[in-house]
Amino acid sequence: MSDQKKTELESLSCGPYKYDDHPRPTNRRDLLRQGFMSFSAFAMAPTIFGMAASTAHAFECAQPTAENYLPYLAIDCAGGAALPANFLVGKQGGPNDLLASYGTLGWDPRTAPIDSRFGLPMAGNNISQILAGMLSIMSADAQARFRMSSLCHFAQDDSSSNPLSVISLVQQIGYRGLLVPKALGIVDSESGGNSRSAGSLPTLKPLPVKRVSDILNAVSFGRAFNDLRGDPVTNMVKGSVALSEQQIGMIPDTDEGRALKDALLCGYKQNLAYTQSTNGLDPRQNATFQQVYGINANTAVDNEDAVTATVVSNVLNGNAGPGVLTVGGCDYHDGTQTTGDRIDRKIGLYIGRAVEAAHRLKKPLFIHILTDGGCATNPGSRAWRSDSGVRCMSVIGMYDPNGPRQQMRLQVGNFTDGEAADQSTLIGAQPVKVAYAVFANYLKSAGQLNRFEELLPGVFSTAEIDSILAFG
Amino acid sequence: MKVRALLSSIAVASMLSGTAAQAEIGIKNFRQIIQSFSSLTAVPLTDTDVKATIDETQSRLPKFGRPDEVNSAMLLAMTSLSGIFCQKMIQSDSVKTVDQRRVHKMVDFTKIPSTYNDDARKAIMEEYAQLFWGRSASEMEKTALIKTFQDMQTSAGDTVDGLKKALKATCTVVGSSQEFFMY
Repeated sequence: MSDQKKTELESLSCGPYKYDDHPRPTNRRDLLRQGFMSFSAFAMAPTIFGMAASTAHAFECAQPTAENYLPYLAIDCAGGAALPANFLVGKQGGPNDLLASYGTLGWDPRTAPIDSRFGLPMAGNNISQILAGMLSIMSADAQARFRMSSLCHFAQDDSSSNPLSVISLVQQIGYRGLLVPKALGIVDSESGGNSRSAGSLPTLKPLPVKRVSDILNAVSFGRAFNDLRGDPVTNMVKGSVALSEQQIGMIPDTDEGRALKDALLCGYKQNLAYTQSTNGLDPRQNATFQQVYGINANTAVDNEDAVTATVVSNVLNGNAGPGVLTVGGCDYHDGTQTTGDRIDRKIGLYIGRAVEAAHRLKKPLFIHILTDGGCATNPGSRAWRSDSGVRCMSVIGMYDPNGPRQQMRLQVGNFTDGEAADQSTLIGAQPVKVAYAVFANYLKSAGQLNRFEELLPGVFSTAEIDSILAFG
Repeated sequence: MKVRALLSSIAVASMLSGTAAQAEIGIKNFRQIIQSFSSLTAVPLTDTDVKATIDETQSRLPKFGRPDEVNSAMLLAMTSLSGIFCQKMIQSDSVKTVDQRRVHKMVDFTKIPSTYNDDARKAIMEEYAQLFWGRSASEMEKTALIKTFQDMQTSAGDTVDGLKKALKATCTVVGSSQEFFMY
């Protein structure tokens, strides 16, 4: 990597963090969390290809369904963001059942103003920069229709191993895009983000979108066919389908072979759809996204705002499946408040822009904020000093253009007077159970809670599911 | 072809060294696919259009060479990649004498598609099959490919330029087929 490029990437986060208590970053995950890289590619270990893959191929081969599904967007905060410094956490009674103290969490709700416009209380008066970022872009009407709830849990610090993402589960209910039959992710990984996906299937790996052109290329036959539009390229693709039908018979008749046959047959046929017009994928050409994201038709394809707008616009428009945005540099315990505030504001902007865009398009949107751990500070300060996996939480949000969703509870699980997530609750100790809880809430919000037992049989009892639902 | 056999043996060795040793079916990974295209077509990876196409498609190609990495996005990427290598190879062969060409030994680039009878078309398809698959095309495969050539003649034009388009399309179909990237 050239020095110029390295400088450019560092400027996109807040500069790399070099900590005495952290080893020097040696892999791409470390570089992402500590802000050396904003978008990075991950190499994932191979998984066993088996029966589950054939099911996943069946999803890809099915008809596009995104217009019938609740748009889902994850915001993966890589590195362990201090979410409890922005969102109020409390004991068994919910966030307003205050802890004995909040010294290491970065604010004192007994003395600081609290903002509850989104249901889940947040630190007001510019203390929470996530809130500040959201309010900097969300209109009053959008704010009025958006609600959030939290899940309190432990997660491994600075680790991509927490199975917190539900991107694969969400796809497994049949949610696939009209033009791009895949999820979208900023990071080239199995989950499209930093954290692993619960219930992951390799065939449901999101399409990596590091540039606007990545999604345009995903439906393009490439520069060799600029002179072959319309019928000629259609005839070529039909030739591929016909040849594949001849060659399919050479594949062994095993589970693996049958799954591959499905993938080949439907894959070549899917490509026939791309011989027709594939407009509407580029948010730089769309007035709503130009305004919300501050981009225009000439914005560079690798501009961060254009890239995030690409994911959000195609999720909301149903062109693609669910999406994952990743905010790098959330491992911001460099002994200052400034760095954390800057990253938190960015998280807030990501949330706010997505909700505002959904509002302007009159589309519902389910948002899932996840992170690998948290941070701790000294009492009375927001100068983050260390990682803290026990100070972790996830947040789910629901934007409904018809009006704010009823909230059954503001908080799932709880924190203790020790200022840590209570690991004795249903979801407190295992990140994968947090993912299942988020998935249940997504299905509930989408009116498909009956699908939970179908995909995750026996994971939660009926009573347990009732205990983890946030939205009515 | 020796190059294809060498690439296949490298692919088998890398497959056996990892968890993919359990798989019955092998898929070339992105490096093997790109290198194979370049070696077989004699089109250098330094070509500007080739480099740009690789940049645009690489993230969708199989990373590990596992069958579960085959999907529509991967197949579209294969079509793009095969297309650019075929286009460059056809361009290169079209200005060479017959004995210098990579393939296209039976092609007269000054003639229009309709002048090629079935036997001539079969010979072209056989060259593409030997190049990318390392074997002869079956009669059914040749039938499918000849139909593609005919359809291209109809839609892209029965002209000298149309010939190159028909060749490009047919070459692309062969190069992006499962027989090329599976082993």
